[in-house]
Amino acid sequence: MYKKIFFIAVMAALSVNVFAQNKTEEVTFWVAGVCGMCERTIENALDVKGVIAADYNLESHQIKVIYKPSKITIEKMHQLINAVGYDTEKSSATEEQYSRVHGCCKYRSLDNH
Amino acid sequence: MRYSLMVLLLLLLSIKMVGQSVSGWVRDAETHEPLIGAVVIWKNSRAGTITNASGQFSLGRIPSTDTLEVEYVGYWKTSLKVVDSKEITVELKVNVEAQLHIEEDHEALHIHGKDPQKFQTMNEKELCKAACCNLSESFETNASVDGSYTDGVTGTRQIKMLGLDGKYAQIMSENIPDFRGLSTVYGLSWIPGPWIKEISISKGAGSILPGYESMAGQINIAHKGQEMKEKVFLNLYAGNQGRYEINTVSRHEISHDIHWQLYSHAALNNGKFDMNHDGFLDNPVGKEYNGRVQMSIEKENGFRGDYNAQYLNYANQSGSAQGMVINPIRIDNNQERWNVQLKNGWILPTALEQSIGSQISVSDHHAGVNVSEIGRNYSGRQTNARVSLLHLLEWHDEVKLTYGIAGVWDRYQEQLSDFSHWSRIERSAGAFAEFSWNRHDLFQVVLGARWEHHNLYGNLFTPRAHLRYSFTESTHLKFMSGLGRRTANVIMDQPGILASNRTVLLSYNNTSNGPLGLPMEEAWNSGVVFTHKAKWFHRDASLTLDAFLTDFKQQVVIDWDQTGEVNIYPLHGKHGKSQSRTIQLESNFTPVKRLDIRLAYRWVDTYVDYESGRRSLPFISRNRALINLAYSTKMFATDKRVIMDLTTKWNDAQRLPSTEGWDSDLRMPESSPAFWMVNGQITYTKEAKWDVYLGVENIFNFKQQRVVIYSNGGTPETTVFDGNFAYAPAFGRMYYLGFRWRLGAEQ
Repeated sequence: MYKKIFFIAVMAALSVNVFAQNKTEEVTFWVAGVCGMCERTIENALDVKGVIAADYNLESHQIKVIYKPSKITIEKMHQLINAVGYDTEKSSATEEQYSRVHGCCKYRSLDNH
Repeated sequence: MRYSLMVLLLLLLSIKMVGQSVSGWVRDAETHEPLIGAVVIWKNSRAGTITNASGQFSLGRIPSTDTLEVEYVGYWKTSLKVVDSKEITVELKVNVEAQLHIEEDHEALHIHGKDPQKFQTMNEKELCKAACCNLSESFETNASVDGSYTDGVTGTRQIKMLGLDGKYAQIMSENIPDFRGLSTVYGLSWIPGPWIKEISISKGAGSILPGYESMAGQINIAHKGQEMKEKVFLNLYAGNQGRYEINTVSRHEISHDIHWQLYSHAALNNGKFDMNHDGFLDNPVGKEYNGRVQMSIEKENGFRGDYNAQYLNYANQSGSAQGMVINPIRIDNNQERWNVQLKNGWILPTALEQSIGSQISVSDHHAGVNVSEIGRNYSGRQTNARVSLLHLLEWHDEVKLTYGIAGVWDRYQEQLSDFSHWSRIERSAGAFAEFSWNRHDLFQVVLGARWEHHNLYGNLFTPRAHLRYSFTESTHLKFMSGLGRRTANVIMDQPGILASNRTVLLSYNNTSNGPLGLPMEEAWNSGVVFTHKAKWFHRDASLTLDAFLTDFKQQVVIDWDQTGEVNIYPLHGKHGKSQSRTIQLESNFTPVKRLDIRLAYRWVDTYVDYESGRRSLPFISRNRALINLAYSTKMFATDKRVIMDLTTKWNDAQRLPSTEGWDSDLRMPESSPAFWMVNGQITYTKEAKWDVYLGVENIFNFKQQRVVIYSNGGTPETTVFDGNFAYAPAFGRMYYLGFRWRLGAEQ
């Protein structure tokens, strides 16, 4: 029973590994963000198919994305981040999108702090 | 006068109304490159903005000030007056020191690759993976610290490290040794899990600064403090073993520099179950109350004070299940303890980084255990006071020296079964120093030692050494070696003695001044730890391989192998040996998005030269494996998610104490079977607001059938009562439901 579970787990891990080898690229770009909550929101926005890992660095305001170009475009990533209310180096969130940003994360003006 | 005031007022108003603004650029002073995301804010206000992708900003003026502050991580903060200019350029200078300190860490379990002393730190997130009612249970997902039972009757949980009982690990709270002496075993089960911010684990002897009492490891507990996001934290727990709990932590602010926190814990155990049908309750029933208050003061002149006080009352009963036996055994276990810790520190305003500090702690602990039918009663009291003064000096982050003086005073009064009582006062005072040289990227050496004069044992010198060599930024090798020592408390170090009618036989050598003529326990611990952090599957992963040897120079041996007796004696002569060797391999990785996997395997080999020959320690699995899977779903509706945890532990066979002298129907096998223990938990969380969690412990319902052996022969000579065979849970599968509520979370 356990041997079987273990075997399946190992196989699963291996297959993912093989899968991950299949052509990925890395891109880094600027995203506005001021706090830990922003970081989570931005990273979660890229929790979609085609994105393998997304790591936002609050200090440098850069997000590093490892993705499969066959599944997602860089433009789409910028749009996804704009959609949760954050500006990127390429495009800005609309006022309506920005209004959804949490009070503490109002990076355009920190008045609401 | 009036006129000018009015003009001023109008002026201010007009500024506000017209919405006059300041705009400009923030750049690096040397390279003139734009700084993106720099914070630009009016002084003492909350009106601010950050620079955009081209380093530009625009900010509306406010009436209260014309001083603008510009901040950027890794650079020196700048402030400037903006009188009439509308466009400004701010240039910031690099702050090298600040840049070195940038580290982000959101991992639940942090593996200290670089720190030569620390091994791992578990934070709240890691603790939330299991029920963690109290700390002795919170190591469910940890591969280095095991939870086990002291005996099968009182249900006391204890930890084990490096194949050794928890008494050989040094427990600290807020970096001050806590739960020593009579409370060594109980200690961790008295710290409610929901109070905890994080637990740091050091394997091996560890730092010398807290004292000489660590041999197998150090565990430091940091309570939640003013950094807590929420104002009030509430936790409710109910388990089908009949345990109900309420825990709270609240945070209060008196002024901007004085904060205090209040902690409470109440637990009720009323489940009278005997699921394994051995005639004894699987878990004790009773009540626990625990309260704590903590205060911190932080002054701008560099003073910091941390003060806390804690009180606990623990009263429970265990023993025969109702109606199962004619002469029921009932164990009443009452413990009461309070303690106070006072810490003061000053950062001195000198060019050289230095600080001085004082630590004072006082505690008083009463323990009373009464066992009916076999007439075994124990009462003990320990009063402790400890003072230590420290001076810390630091040169350019590279060289660090901490030295100081310390004094410890302990009074023990103990009594067993009306006729024998013993007491002692232990006093020690001395000096200690720890020197650290850190060639940041390459290696670090930490040398520490303390010398003390002890009223019973004379002069004690305790050295420790740690070395770290870094192959790369993510691959480190650490070596450590050190001496540790402690005074044995023969009853409270193994409360299982009370859960049996074994005759307690003590032999000693007359050369020792220690309590009951027993020597001080002393062991050398040496270890090597290899850590490698990597990107596997494009995500953070780690690999740790470590090996430790604990070699006792002197030990108070507890020998359970003579039927009907527990023999306590010093390790034999000059050639007597007692050792524990462990090798552990652990890996943490994330093969799929949001699925964290931890795999660990440990090999333990122990032996002790008992009077009757060399044998391994009982209740130690030679091989042990752990698999922890933690999966979190995608966030839905922006802040909700489901987290699933599954922990599987495999325990190899454990040697059990010999039962040769008993009738065949009472005998236990020579060793326990190997068994699996699988725990699972599902948490539904609305981030920053509340969590609901539902868990199952021991999913496959593994039960030890006979934990307690009891045969009442009518006379003390013919009665057999022994609860010292617990190697697995008696209760079997257990369900629990819990709730965490975070009120007034500041974002």
